[in-house]
Amino acid sequence: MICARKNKEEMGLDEKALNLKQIYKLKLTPERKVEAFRRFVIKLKQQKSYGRDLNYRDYFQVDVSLFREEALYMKDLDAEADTGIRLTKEIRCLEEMTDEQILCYYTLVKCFRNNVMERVSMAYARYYMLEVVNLIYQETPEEAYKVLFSFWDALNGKKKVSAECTEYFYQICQLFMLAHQELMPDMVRELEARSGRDWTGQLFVQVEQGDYREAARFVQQNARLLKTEEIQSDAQYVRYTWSAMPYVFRALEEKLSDYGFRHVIMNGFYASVYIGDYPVKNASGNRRKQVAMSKYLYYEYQEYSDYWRFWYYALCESVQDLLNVIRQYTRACVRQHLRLSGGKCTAVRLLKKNYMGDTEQLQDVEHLKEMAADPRFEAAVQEGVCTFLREHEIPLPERKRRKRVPREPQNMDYGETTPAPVVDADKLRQAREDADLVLDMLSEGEIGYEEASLQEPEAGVSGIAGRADLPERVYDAPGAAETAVSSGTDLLLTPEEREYLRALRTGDGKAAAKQADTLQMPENIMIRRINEKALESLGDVLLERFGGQVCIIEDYKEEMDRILGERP
Amino acid sequence: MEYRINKRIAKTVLHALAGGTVPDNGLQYIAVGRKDEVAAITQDMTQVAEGYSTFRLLEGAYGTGKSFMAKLVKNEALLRGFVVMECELAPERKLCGTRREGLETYRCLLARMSTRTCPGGNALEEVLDTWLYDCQEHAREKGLTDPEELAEEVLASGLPLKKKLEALPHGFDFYEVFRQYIRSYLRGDQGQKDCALRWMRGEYRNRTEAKAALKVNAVIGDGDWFSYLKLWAVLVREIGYAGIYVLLDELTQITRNIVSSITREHNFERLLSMYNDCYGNEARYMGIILCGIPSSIHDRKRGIFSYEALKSRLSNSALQGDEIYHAPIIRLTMLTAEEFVTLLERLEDMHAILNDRERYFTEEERILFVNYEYRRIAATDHLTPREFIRDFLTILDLKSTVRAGDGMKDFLSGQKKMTMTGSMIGAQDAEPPEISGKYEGFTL
Repeated sequence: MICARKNKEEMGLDEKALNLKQIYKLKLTPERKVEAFRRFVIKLKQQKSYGRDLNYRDYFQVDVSLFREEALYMKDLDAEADTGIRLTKEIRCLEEMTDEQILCYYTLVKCFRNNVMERVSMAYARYYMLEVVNLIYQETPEEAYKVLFSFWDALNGKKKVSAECTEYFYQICQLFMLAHQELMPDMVRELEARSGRDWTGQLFVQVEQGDYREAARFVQQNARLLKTEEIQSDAQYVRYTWSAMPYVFRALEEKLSDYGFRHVIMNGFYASVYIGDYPVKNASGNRRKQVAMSKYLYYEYQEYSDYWRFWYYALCESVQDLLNVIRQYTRACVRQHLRLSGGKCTAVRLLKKNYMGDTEQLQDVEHLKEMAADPRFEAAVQEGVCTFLREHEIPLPERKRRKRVPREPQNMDYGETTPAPVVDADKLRQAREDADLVLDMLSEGEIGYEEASLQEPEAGVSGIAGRADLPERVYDAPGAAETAVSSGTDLLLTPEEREYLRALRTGDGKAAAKQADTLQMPENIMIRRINEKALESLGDVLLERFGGQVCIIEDYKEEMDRILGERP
Repeated sequence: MEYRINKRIAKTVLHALAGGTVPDNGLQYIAVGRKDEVAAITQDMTQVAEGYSTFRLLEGAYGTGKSFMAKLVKNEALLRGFVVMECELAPERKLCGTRREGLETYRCLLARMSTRTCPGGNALEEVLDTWLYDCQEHAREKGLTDPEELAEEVLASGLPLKKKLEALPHGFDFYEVFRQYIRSYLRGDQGQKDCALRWMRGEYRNRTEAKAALKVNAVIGDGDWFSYLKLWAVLVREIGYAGIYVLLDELTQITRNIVSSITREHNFERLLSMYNDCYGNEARYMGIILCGIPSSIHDRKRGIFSYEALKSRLSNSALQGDEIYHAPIIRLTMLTAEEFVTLLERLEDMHAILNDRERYFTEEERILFVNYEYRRIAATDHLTPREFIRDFLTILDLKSTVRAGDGMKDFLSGQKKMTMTGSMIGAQDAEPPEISGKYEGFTL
């Protein structure tokens, strides 16, 4: 506990923010003090929006200091620990570490503080950097800034640091600058020296001075760094787009002098260098999204990237939309010139596409509509792009003038285009023959028309299941069926079936059912048998069920009378 | 070639066509321009009856006649002694889904089971009862009268069927329920029979219900309904039918209309297993036909071809050309002008038979009509046989009633001579002209 208290004093923690003073005022036993710390941290963590409502710097301080204190108290940390224990992920607070990892971390911290990188582990190093910028070990931000950069240099001198870790370092620096803006100039200088990025707006200066080539170099530099491998396929085009931007702005400046446009554009351009399409990780994992420069998108994606947090405040809101349109339109023009995309894109269409949202109306960008619709605007962008391509001797493929043939929109779900028919006599004959052939093929299972087909079907039972054989298929060559189709006796009805039909014919369904019942035959079976016979000879069923009642089909009633001998 | 056609069938056909729908029977008389397709399908039927299984996709744009073709297949299958099960896929009926959509499809198939003598559906009970009645009769001929003895005799005669069913997945449960159906039928126990029927139609929601009613610890579920269809195929074959034909329409419901890619893929997986079963001889005596618009098959994002395993199976060979006998996908194309003329001839013949007269129009006049239809606005995209036929039938009706003196040109130009030969109803009673003998109605 003594060790812990000593550490606290060394650290110079902001007690008010941590609300630790009250805890320390109480004369608690060490155990209860630790318990109080725990409760306090849990309470903090239960506030879901701790990252936003609370100052996250406080949060880190609380986390780290409390758990560190607890760890120092609870564990014997003076002992050297095994430094081979790995951290498998980015650890945000000590609570997420196991005991062994905590021991390992504090053993390594001893080395880190002396810039001894013998046993460095990148995950632990990251955590150490986080602690440094949260002033865990230093009294003042200046000290922390110096320690941070000396540590980073030592780290880079010892081993090759991954791009991911470098990006993490930059983010840490940005957060630090946000918290201590007085250090920003120094830090930016240091960062520029190390990263090669334009952190100070050199580009803006160059553009102001009219040195567009130099400005383009900065733009390219930034574009290359910002746009990583996500857009490999469009690498050339991205480079061209960014390179073309100064030319576009110059053209805009000349063409749109009436608008008093220059200042706005220059500021916006300065900002746009930093916030282009920046690839960010989404919450779920490794998949990356492109974040387009827009204040609307900023809100949408803010949780994915702290990078935005830093630069957003530097931007002038009113310029955002316009810049977005200019940048996208430039991009479209470059694509078009390089034959990377077909069709024509206009500033108004881009405006609509990006700002329509779910509504029919443009949102908040009405003021841009007029400017975007101005032909001078489009002409200026076109001119800027063309000038750039010309100066860099990028050859434009020659446009092939093709005669435009109006085409109907193709929809595969509708029939093919039907030409105006010219009925060919041969084809017509062929079509008739084919249709007859189809009738032949399909009639194979159909009833025949000959008397031969009206034989009593075999009623025998065959096979294991006592099935009646399949209905005999009688195929009759077409044209041979000139004989009478059937006569009253053709159906070859049994006396019982005749009785049943007679009862039905009189319209007495109940009597008919009774008739079937006396034969111990379900009515269904009776109907089926009669229908089978009718199908064999007539090609159609005689009986059908209608509303639960069995009835003779209307068309056959008269014929039925004749069959049953009711009428001659 | 000369065919006589039953007047009632002619009436049914014309009535349905005039209303813009596909008639239930008599389709073979108006099946024009589908020679190859019909040949392929009939060849399939022969194969299925021999114990194989087939799987075909009928692909056609809107209005090319998919439903017509499906009904044609149905009628032909019924005539050849198959049991036909048909179902239109819908949002609540898919091949599988999270809300038992697959089971719904199975239920629909069973509810719309049809046979030659019961073409309207609901033939399940009839199929089983007819066979049982025959068995019963056969047993009675041996002098057995006691229901228990009859049942034993019937079950004994069905021993090979039992073995065949039990060789398949879920066969033991299925046969057990079938056995209970037999017993309840022979005992006249309608309640128990209904329970068995309910089970067979997949109406039991859970095993507890099924066990309470039938003492069977299984129900037909969303995941295994196709296995039961395979059992049905074997069963119907054994009791006297040629096999089963399964017709599934509106394929787009399991392709483009499913937004969730996971659900869609599950449906494709089921389709794949059905295909594999058919060609891997897992399923026997079963023909499956699916109908869909081209985009439901070829759409790269949501169509069947978005699923690589199905695409490689169903794609037609590059060497195949126009030959469709062995192609899994049968593409229905729009009828040509010549085929339309032939179709009109057939329709006019039917109309003539129905009204006991000769043809009204000459071939030139029919060609004139076809040309006229093709010249309509947007005919290139939207002209379908449905509109074509309806227009022609309207002309025939007018000609036979109020505009007997008009020629085709008069009809097409919109000029009316209005030579009344009789009222709309009275025209039927007018003395019919002499019959040429080419087409006749039948008399019983």
